[in-house]
Amino acid sequence: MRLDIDSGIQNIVEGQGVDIAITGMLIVFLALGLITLFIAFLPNLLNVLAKIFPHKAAADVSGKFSAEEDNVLAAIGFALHKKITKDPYKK
Amino acid sequence: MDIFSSFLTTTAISTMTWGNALMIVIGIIFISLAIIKDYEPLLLLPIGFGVVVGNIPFVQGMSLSVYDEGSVLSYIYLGVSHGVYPPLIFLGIGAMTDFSTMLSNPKLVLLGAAAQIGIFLTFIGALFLGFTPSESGAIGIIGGADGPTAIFLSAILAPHLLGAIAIAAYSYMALVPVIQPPIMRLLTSENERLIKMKAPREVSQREKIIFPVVAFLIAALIAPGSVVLIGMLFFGNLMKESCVTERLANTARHAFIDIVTILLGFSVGASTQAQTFLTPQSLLIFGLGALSFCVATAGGILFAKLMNLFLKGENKINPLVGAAGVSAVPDSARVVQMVGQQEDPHNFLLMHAMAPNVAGVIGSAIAAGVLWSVLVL
Repeated sequence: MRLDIDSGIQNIVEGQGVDIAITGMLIVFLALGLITLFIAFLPNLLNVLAKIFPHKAAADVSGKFSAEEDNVLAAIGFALHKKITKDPYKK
Repeated sequence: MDIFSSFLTTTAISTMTWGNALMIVIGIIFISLAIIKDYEPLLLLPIGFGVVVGNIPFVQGMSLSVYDEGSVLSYIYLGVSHGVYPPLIFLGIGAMTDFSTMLSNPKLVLLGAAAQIGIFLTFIGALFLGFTPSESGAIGIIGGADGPTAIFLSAILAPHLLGAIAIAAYSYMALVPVIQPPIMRLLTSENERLIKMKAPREVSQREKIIFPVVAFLIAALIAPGSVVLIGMLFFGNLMKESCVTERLANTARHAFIDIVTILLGFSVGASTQAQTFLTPQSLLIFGLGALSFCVATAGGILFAKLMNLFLKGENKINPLVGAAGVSAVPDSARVVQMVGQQEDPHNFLLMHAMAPNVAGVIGSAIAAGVLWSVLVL
C-alpha cells in the first residue's frame, strides 16, 4: 500500500475550490438566514392569521358537567377509591 | 480425500489475507465500542458486524459479497448504492424531531449554518491532496457530521469511496464525545462557558405545523438538490406535528427508522472489504474526516462568539452551544450539556443546543444539495 499524494495549490485552483466553498457557504447561510427570518416573523404572521381565521371557541369551562359526565366521573372516583383503599397485605 | 483437500482450499481460512484479518479486528473494535462504551450502539453494532461479515473471504464463483451481482447482500446494499436509505432515515428523524427550541430562538439557526464551514474547508483540503472535485465534495460532506447525508452524496459523487466515507462519517459521529470537548474548552473562556441563556418561549402548535412546510419551500427553492433529504425530513416532521397522522409518525420514528438503520448499517459495514477499503485514499479520507469534524465544531463556536459581540444581556449565547451546529443529533447537543455542566451543574444547555443541532441537519442537507448541483451539473 503506497501513499502517492499529488498535492498542491494548483489542484484547488483548477477545481475552483475556493469559489465553490464561498458560494456553498453563502447559499447555506442564505437558506438558513431566510428560515431564521421566517421563524422570527412567524408569531406576527400568526397574529394576522388569527384575525382572519380565529381559533375555535374554547370548550365550556364553566365547571358544570352533564349527567353523563357525572356518571363517568363517579365511576372513575369509585375505581380510584377501590384502588387506594385496597388491603395492602392482599396480593 | 481429493474432495476434502479441494474443500479445504475453498475455506475462508485458506484465502484470508492480512487485510481481511485487520478489518475483522476493526469490526470487533466497533462492536466493543458499541457494547462497552455505548458509543452510537445503534450504528456501530450493525456496521461492526457488517465489517466482520464483509471481510470473510468469499470463494470465486459463489455470489456472496455486496459487490457480487445477484447476491443477497448486493440487494440489501442497493439501498445504499442508490441513495435510497438516507432519505428514509431522514423521514424518521423528521418524525422524531421537535423544532420547538429552534422556533423559540431563531438566531441559533445561524450556528447550524456556520458549522457547515467544516464541509467546505474539507472540500478544499481534499482538492489540495489530489482528489477530484467530485471525490472532494463527497469527502467534504463528512464535516456535516451526518451519516445519511454523507452516504447520499457519496453514492452520487464518488460511489467508489462510499464505504470509506460512510465508515469515517459514522465513526466520527460516534466519537463526538471524544472529539468535541477539547476543542470546546480550547476556544472558550471559563466566563463564556458559564453564560446562562434565557429560557425558550412556548411555541404554539400552529407555528410547529406551518414551519416544516415553509422551511421546506425555502430550502428546496434555494438548493433543489436537497429536495429529497429536506423533503423527507420535513414530511416526517409534518406528520408528527399535524397530530392527525400520529400512527404514521409513530411508525416512521420507531419501526421504520430502525429497519432502515439495520439495513444501512449492516450493508455499509459489509461493503468494507479489505481489498477495496484498505487503500491510501481511505487513510486520507479518515484524516480529512477528523479535520472536518474539528473545523465544523470550531466554526460553530467561533460564530457564537461573533454573535455575542452584537448581543446584550440575557440574549447572549453560551458559545458551547455553537459546537452543536454539527448535525450529529442529539449527541453533540448532549456533549454541550455535559461540558456546560462541568463548569456549572445548574446550567442546562441541552434544550438550547438542540436548536443549532437540528439546524445543522438542515444545513448539511442544503450543503449536500449545493455540492451535488455544482459538481455534477
